[in-house]
Amino acid sequence: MSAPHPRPVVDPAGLSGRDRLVVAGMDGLFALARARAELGAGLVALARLGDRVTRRAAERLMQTVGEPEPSVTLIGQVKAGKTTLLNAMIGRPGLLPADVNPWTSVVTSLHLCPPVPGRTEGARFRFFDEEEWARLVEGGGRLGELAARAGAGDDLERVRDQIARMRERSRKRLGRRFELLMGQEHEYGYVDAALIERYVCLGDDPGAAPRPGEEQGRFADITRTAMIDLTVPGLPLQLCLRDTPGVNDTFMMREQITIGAIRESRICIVVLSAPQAMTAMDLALMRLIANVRARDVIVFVNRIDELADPVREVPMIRARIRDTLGQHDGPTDAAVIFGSAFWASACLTGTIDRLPPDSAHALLDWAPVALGEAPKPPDDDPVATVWALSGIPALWQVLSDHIAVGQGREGLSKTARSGLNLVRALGASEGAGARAIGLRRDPGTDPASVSARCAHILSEALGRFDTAAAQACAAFAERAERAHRQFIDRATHSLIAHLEAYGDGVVWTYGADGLRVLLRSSYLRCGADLHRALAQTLERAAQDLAGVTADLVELEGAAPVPLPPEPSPVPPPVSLGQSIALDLQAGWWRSWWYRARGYEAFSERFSALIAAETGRMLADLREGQLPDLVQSLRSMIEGFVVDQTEMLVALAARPDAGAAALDRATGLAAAAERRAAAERLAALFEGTLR
Amino acid sequence: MKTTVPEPSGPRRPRLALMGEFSAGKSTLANLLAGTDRLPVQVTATELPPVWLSATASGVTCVRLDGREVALEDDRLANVDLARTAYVRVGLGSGLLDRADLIDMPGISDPNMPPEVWQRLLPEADAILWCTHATQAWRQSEAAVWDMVPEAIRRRSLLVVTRIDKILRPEDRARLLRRLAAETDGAFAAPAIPVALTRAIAGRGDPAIWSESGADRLMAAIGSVLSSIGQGVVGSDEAGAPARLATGSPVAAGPASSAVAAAQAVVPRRIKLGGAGAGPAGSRATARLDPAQSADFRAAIGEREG
Ligand SMILES: Nc1nc2c(ncn2[C@@H]2O[C@H](COP(=O)(O)OP(=O)(O)OP(=O)(O)O)[C@@H](O)[C@H]2O)c(=O)[nH]1
Ligand SMILES: Nc1nc2c(ncn2[C@@H]2O[C@H](COP(=O)(O)OP(=O)(O)OP(=O)(O)O)[C@@H](O)[C@H]2O)c(=O)[nH]1
Ligand SMILES: [Mg+2]
Ligand SMILES: [Mg+2]
Repeated sequence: MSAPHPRPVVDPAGLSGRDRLVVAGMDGLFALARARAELGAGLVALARLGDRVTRRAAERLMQTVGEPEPSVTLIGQVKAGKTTLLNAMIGRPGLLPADVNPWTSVVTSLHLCPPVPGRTEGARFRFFDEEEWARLVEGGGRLGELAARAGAGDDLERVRDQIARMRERSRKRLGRRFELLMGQEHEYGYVDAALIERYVCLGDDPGAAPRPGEEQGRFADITRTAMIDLTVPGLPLQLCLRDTPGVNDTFMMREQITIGAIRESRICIVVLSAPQAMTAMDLALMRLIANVRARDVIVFVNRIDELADPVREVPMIRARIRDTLGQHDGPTDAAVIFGSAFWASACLTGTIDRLPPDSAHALLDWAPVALGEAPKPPDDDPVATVWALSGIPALWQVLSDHIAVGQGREGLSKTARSGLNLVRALGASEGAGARAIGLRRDPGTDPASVSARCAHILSEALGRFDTAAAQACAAFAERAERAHRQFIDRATHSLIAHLEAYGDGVVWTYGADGLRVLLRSSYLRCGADLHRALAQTLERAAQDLAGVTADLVELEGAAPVPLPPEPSPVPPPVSLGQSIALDLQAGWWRSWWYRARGYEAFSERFSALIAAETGRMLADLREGQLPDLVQSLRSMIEGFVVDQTEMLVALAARPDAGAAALDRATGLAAAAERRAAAERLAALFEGTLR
Repeated sequence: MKTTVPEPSGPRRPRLALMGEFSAGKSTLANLLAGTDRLPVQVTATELPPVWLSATASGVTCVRLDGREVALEDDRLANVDLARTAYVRVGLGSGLLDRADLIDMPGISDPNMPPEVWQRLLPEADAILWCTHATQAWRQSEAAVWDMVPEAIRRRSLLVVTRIDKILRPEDRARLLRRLAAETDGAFAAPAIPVALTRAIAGRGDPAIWSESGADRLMAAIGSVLSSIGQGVVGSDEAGAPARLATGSPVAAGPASSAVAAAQAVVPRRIKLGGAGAGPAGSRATARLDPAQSADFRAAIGEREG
């Protein structure tokens, strides 16, 4: 394997045409890319400086400089314009299929990458496997389950019926291959609109028999995920954008697919439609995401080209969004950007001279006001001006800043930390800092014994961490269950009081947000406990490892203690984001209420429903998210100790080492130079960490 | 479910309720039908209780939930207390109002508008004109509310696809209507009717625009709804509900001849342009743009202005 080289960051000024438009507003990403390149160059220098083990470790680190791949999900009501917006953002109008009817049916991840020699575009589509499919068909998915619990048999029937029709349609399209395809993956070494259309869009006239030769949506119903690799000229770094099926679609399954995808990205762009911005559905969606991470919700109000008078109406819509979010505990600090994917597409297809008259009027009206706020286009180029008015550069700007301060920063620190450890380890073996006098040749310093000692350190560390983690999780379970019980008691009282006061003629609603807040804080507290346990465990392991170094190398001064890695922030409690019956106040809850009326034991029935629904949220945290978190922290301990072990074993295996030997081999001057270089690198990594 | 609402006095006329998502164009449609501009129209949700337009009433009266009636001095329909008001009654006899009452409901899905506000007036309606945004037509939130409407009402109601002017290509319009036909099959009296309401209002008196905007087909269908209500519903019990209207392709089909007659009868005599967004777009912007840049820029985006 050839050593990876840090990619040079493209200078946006050298780009032209479309490519130049696309990178407008990406300043934050460019800065992040430059910081990464600097770090990468430091690692290259480190690889040259060190021995084989250090070099291998530095090369491994180089590969992680681009990680984690920042990822962003677009989400919104059906036909808000998500797909069109996404196409515009990457400068590829028409690539993902868009339409006037509900269209996107699969969560589609676009992995974007600057053009790199040897990397080609391609696509992978994964189908449902038999088990997933069977669960969908029988249970009607999550919604079916909800409906069943609420005793709304006909809703359950409807969901099941929709799924059965979908299956029938697929069977007709695919014939005997249908069964064969389950669980498979299709991979292609190219991407174009026609290919994507076969997998991710609904296809024409749902329910109608497909026309012969019809390729649109051929596999859409059975495709579970679509992953597309694209190159974007000028893009400073790798990143992932996700398109999702619209929510509030009459085909109810689709919404469940989308809600499930929220957890896959740290940043969500909620796409609204200017002519009807911030409906109850949009609000519910935003709160759902915000429960997860307020800072990372960005609102894009699309379709401003459809407004009759944007100058007057945009401020009205903005005020309305703020007020509504404020009144309903939404994320009021979310950035709100106005724009039009339609104008952006016109720029990319060279058709700004053919805008429909209403759209052109809106544009002219809006231009002087908006250009006061938006990032200025570089020159008098009308295309660049319309591009700025489309809101895409402003969107990239906010997005870039979010990425740079969030995931970007974390990734840099992680790499710098590991880099610093390598430099320090190098110091231990070569005498920088504490001067090495020579390798000890005592019994127990042979590679096999060192390896065994390190293995023991690891198992001790894991044992300590597991004990602490089990305690933290048990404490969470207790707190969470108490909160849950109290919530159910309060809800039941409220229900009974409501029935006494109004009877069953007026719908009773009760928000689950109070419970979410409590569960969230219990979860975060548990996360903090786990992090503390992790830090203590790592600290102890680092000391133990330094002990091994001290036994291995004769030093003037104390053995350097390796710097343990820092965990990423506790992942957001996405389980709290799933919608439960209580949240469905707008539509379903009401109809269930009216239909359930008059049943015997009405209030017990609803109490039981609420207990089951909220219990599910809690169980998801306890049985899904927390164990995942524990596992990821545990593997950090393993990674750390294993890396250090490798270096110590290599040190023990050195036939002839120590400063004196080194000095003899390389000359004193060279050793001093190496020391100085190592110190410079240490300073670079420390600088990144600050 | 029925919380009784004080009814207006006088002879009972057919009552058409205008419902749908907020900002779908209900008030715009009510203004069009009644040949008025009294109902406020705006891009964001309008915070008003239901407005009941009736030729048999007079003045503007706030009907409270407790049954008390308060005459409003100010007929701009602003500042009505949502929490205490059942509906606002407005006396008006123009346009369609000589044949039917119109109830302009607040929109669904507005987080700031409790559904009870329109729910409690729902039982008063004989038929509903359900307005849906063409660009985001017939979403689950609409279908869910429609499910709760009694079958007898649904069978004589219409699905009006507003803002059809925003779907530019004829083939896209056709595909949209095909989807709506499939999804709402049997849920309305007739296939969905596409209409460009603001065009229709602007083009009043011009038969070509009237027809091109879809207003003529809409009027014809409303005429049929009114006659079906007249035949079987008013003054009789629910058992006498009318048969479903004849259906045909909304794009191509000409309405039945009786419906055409009805349509002519309900074309508003006089319609004023609503206050909101009435000025020609662009004039203000032009004034503020640097003239040189402006001319070039306008040329670049191919502005065709007379
Ligand atoms: N006028 C106008 N039309 C737009 C805009 N954005 C999208 N459209 C059009 O609106 C329709 C729907 O766009 P899509 O991108 O398919 O919307 P979506 O949100 O991805 O829809 P689903 O995937 O079905 O949820 C298409 O016909 C687009 O061309 C916009 O900003 N202005
Ligand atoms: N282009 C276009 N605009 C329309 C059409 N119908 C309504 N509008 C515009 O849509 C916006 C909302 O219209 P309203 O009539 O206030 O909608 P509404 O359904 O009464 O809304 P709420 O009262 O808030 O529920 C206004 O700016 C109207 O001018 C149409 O057919 N075409
Ligand atoms: Mg889409
Ligand atoms: Mg209105």
